[in-house]
Amino acid sequence: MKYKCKDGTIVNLAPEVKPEYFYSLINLTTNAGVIIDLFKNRNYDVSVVPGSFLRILTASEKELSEIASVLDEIEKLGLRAIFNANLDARSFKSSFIARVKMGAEKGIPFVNADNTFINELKDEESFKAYTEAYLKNKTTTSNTEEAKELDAEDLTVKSTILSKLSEINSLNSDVTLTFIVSSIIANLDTAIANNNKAYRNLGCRPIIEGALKGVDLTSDMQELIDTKILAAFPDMNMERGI
Amino acid sequence: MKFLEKYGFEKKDIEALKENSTSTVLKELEAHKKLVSKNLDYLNNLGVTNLSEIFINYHDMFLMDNSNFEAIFNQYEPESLVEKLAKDVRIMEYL
Repeated sequence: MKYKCKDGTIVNLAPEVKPEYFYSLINLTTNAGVIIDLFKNRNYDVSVVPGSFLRILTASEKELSEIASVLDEIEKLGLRAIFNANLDARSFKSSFIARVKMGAEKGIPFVNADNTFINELKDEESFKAYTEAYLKNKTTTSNTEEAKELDAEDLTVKSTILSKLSEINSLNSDVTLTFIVSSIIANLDTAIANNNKAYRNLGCRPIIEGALKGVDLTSDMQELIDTKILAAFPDMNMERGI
Repeated sequence: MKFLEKYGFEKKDIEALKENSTSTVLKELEAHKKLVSKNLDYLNNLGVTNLSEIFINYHDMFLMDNSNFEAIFNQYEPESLVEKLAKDVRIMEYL
């Protein structure tokens, strides 16, 4: 879905995004073109963006220079892939990168398994409490899990899955199904990366199943997954008549 | 952002909100605090247990016209909606 900002810049929103939720931001995106260039010039993939990215495009001139210096800091830390997967306004604030830097330096985990930032990074107080608790009960958990980047073939598969999920969700008024769709999308990149291109032979079904691993599923959810989600992603063996 | 205190927002919530927004959007929220409050009231009355978390992450949505805002949530069974929002706030994007 294309979204035209106030300065005429076109932003391509991810297919699962509902643009009507972001109409209030349209007249506030005064520096959109300049801001997008800041990301493009540092090799961020902003060809398709989440809805949260639109908030970044409302940054003022002053905030724009803060974003630029944070982007430079991210390059120095070698964390572009993780930040590219977290295109939220908070990710590009100097206070946030300071916490990430501290976490990286002290070996404190700051990324979830799905490459999103941990919730405790959202404010100083929460992160301080988390850091203290972590250092006190230091576990073997580490930051070694790097964001896995998807290649062009993976991204095509991702786009196909997202379109189908978006279609399923658009016809839906069951919040449990919405929860399932949201959980799949949240874990999709990791599930595709872990699939190691098995989708070439097995189709998208194992990716969907992989994305739901670790999600706390009730029996009514499992039924919805079978009837509404997996039914939309046919088993390759069934397709071949095996 | 003083008007948010009425909804139980703590200092750290306001800080988290400011960090997850821009000055332009924050000014807009302040300028339209009546509308924002109306939408907050609606979710509060619905019984959501993580109002500050929802607002910190999706405050732009609270600038929507109240009838459009309510229409998003009205299509779901309230009890189940409240439970799922508490479980994972990210479902907001897909409602």
